[in-house]
Amino acid sequence: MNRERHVARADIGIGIGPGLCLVAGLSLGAVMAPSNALAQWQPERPIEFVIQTSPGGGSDIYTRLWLGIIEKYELSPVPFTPVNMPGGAGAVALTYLYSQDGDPHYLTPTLNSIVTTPLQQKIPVMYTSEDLTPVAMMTTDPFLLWVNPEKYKTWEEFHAACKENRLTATGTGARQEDEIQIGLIQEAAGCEPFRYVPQSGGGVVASNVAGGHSDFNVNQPAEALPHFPDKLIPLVVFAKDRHPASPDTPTHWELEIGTENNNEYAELLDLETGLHQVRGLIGPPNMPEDAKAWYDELFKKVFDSAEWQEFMKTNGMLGTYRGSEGYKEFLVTFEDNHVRMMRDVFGWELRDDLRERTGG
Amino acid sequence: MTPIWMRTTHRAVEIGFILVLLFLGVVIVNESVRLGPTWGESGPQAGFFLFVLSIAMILGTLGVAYVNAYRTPDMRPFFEAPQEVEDLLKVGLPIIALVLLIPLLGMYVSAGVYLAFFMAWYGKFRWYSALAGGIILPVALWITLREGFNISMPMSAFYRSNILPF
Amino acid sequence: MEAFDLLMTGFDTLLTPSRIGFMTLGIILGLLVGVLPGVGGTTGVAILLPVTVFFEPVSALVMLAGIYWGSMYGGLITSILFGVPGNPWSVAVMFDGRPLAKQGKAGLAMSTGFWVSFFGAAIASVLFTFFAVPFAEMALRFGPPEMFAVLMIAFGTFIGMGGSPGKALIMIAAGFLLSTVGLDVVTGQPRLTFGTVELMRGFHFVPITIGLFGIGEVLSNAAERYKVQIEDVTRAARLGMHDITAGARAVFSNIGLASSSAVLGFITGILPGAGATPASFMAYGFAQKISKHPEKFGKGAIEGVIAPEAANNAAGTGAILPMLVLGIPGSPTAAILMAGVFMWGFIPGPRLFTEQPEFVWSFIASLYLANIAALLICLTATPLLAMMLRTPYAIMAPLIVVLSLIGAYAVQNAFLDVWLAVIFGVIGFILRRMDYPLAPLIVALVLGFSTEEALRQSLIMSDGSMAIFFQRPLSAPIMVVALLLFMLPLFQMFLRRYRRRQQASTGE
Repeated sequence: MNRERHVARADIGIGIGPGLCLVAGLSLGAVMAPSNALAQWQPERPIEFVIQTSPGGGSDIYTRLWLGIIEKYELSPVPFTPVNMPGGAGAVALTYLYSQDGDPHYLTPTLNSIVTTPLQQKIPVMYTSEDLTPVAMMTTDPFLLWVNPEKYKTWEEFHAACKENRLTATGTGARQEDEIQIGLIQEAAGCEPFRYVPQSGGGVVASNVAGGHSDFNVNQPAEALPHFPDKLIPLVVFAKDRHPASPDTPTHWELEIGTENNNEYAELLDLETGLHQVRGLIGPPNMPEDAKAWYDELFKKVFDSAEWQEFMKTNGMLGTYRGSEGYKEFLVTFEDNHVRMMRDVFGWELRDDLRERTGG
Repeated sequence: MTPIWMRTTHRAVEIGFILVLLFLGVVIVNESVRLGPTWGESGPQAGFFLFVLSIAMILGTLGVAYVNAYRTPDMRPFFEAPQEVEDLLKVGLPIIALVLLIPLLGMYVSAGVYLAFFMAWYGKFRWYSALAGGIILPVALWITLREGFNISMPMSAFYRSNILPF
Repeated sequence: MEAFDLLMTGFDTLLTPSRIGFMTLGIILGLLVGVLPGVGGTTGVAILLPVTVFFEPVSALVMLAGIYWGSMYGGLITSILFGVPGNPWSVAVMFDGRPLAKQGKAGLAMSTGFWVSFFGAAIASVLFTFFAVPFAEMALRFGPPEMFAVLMIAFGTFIGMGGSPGKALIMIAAGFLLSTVGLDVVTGQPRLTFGTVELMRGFHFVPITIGLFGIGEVLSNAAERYKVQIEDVTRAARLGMHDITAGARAVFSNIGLASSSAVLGFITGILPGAGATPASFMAYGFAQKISKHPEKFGKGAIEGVIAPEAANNAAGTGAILPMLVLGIPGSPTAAILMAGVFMWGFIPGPRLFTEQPEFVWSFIASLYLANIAALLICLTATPLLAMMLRTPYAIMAPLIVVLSLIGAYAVQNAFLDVWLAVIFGVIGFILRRMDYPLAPLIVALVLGFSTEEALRQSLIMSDGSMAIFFQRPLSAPIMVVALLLFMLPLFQMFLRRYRRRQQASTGE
């Protein structure tokens, strides 16, 4: 059924019988019945997925998979249109989203730059949790430390080497999540200062470590899996519990990394209280409550779909779904942790007009 | 008295272009100094590349200025015939009008209006041919971009208030 | 011949009516997105990625692959006809393809392009089939210093490429400077944004290329209409099937150039992060360097069509290889295909070959079939496409403008880019009149970001020492070749002087 619908669409794209198809297209939008009666709000025109990367970038791919699932199960009466607005590590997309005040027809799939970028660049958004509307959280993933097994086989070997020499780390982006996590490991384990080589994409990061050009990186399993176990192995997982995709890898708690000073760094390295890769969705400021409810229902269904569950499993991702309130609560702690690390631990220059938050 | 654009020589345009580049060069050098134009502890600083390149650009412009404006100036007129300027404006100004029109009417309608206008005015097509062109183009674009590939385009000023679907 | 048997099983899997149907549908959609400037293959595959949720893996994969191959062919159509590149990797083919079209040889340029695309892809497919693993191992050995050395070769091939040296220097520097706008790769500081968010997205090369070439050409043609009218030139040219055979002959008589460009393209395509665009530029530069009549380049040399097209199609094929074999996407398009592979529950990498041979080999078989199908579709369409140039000017010019603006907008969904295209159109018009070479600007703009990134990454690795480029076993020889290329014009100059002096002395 769905397959036929899509092929028909493709035919329209080729342009057979233009006039007729236009009529068909217009009436299709008008006739579409609301798909669920529970929520008050219904979208009135296509919803824009404002993506922070170019086609092919990390969050672009997730977004398009969600799109496919939404279309397959006919979860929305209107189409979702992906709109790529790359640039400024998310600054451009966030600014655009901010300007759509109160209009729920805009959504941005998130990665951690929604926290790191506004803290550093002077854009209208500063704290995403306050200035924009968190909508849904789809995954939280712990970081694992990956090395080439020809260089190190255990954390102990790695630790000894890093105390002796400056090691070279690599990761995605400058002054973003990977660099923060790597800096944190350096502080927690008392290593000689790492050299940090920024890359523009995740796949290149993994291949740089697999090829021996850099000594290690931190990443979720997905990008490392192709090289596992010949060229890349995980040494540590930064979480309370071991990772189901790699049950033999010890946690940093087991290895007592950063447990001095009342677990000062260990808490920050941890999945629940500190850093991790989070993927979710945010909307413009002042999104109406009933729109939030509509999206909550929709993305819960996407999350529960067999396709997404399967995708998370092959990618070694951990899924915890949270709705708008849960995501917001989570982001507040997340942002405060970031301010603490970036400004107080590493001494990076944050934007000079940073609002102080109480209770942070 | 020939109008000024017919008296403008290649040399004059070249000098104008070089002045613009020199101005930009100075702006960029200034920016590179803010970012750090030198070699830091681990390789070049953020402004190093800018500094080297803007200096290269300035040297290039000075070289070109010496040769083309002083040693062997090109005194040919930039435009050979008045007809050139006229044709250029006839084609160029509607493009600017089109870009100004897009925020108001959106990409689809503006493209249609622009095509119809240009066909009737410049191409001397009959009004019904121009009208047909002005309708077929936006419809074809809509079907390919919107219905077919789901690519977003600039929408009209009436889109967000749900008055128009495009 | 184990690979050969496996390939045959791949063909078996593929040759069902529905799968062939999906592949053909993919190719046609790909041609269409390839023709839409600014949309291109990457976006095309991305747009159709959601479809993969609906299909069984092999059908979905061959359909996505079909779009990819189709767009590789489709990109050259608008480059040659209108000077508006449909894909980033179709920029180089424009340098000579567009002048050919203006001389009334659009059909020849296109059919040559299609034939050589096929030829390049075929060579790459054979290399892919039989040497996938060793090539993938090689790709892994390329780190930032090697990337930098390769990019230096790409620039080296463009040194001394006609025009006054001062003007070329200005254009290279300007292209580089445009590419630096945005956030710094290492420190994340905004550069040349002057506090605006609009400039943080940087200058994407697509709107600028579309402006300089597409709109710039529209303006140039407008100004020259009182002398030459392009539709008259094309109307005078004889159209028909003879262009197709002439195209094949052109490829055949330059078979050496086509093969070496294809191999060069394939190797460049494999390198993670390099991809088809630098490959096409490099091949173009080399073609001019080894040509007997380099002065004809940029004015309609058929070699200028053959080299970049052979290279970019071979590179497109090569970019898939590290994705399948190692799980490193060689290009954004490969990254999307890889997401598809994950989506179907497979993990790319060496294990895929042993665990899912049917899937892998039917994909490789699709390389062959899709290219044959794309070639046939394109060649049939060539005379029709060439006929489009006979459209009355008052329809043609606005259509090019609309396509250009749509392309400029679609890349980053930024209205600023629409203005940029128009502004660079005017700049392009002026620069062309004053004989500033536009190719170096585009090359520097396209490769500038990667070059600075690779340089600074390497220097972080070496604590700031330039010696790193000459100490590593792979980067050292590549770097030496690059340096030789840079010095080649100097040698040539000395040689010419020496000869002139000899002539002068014998003349006395």
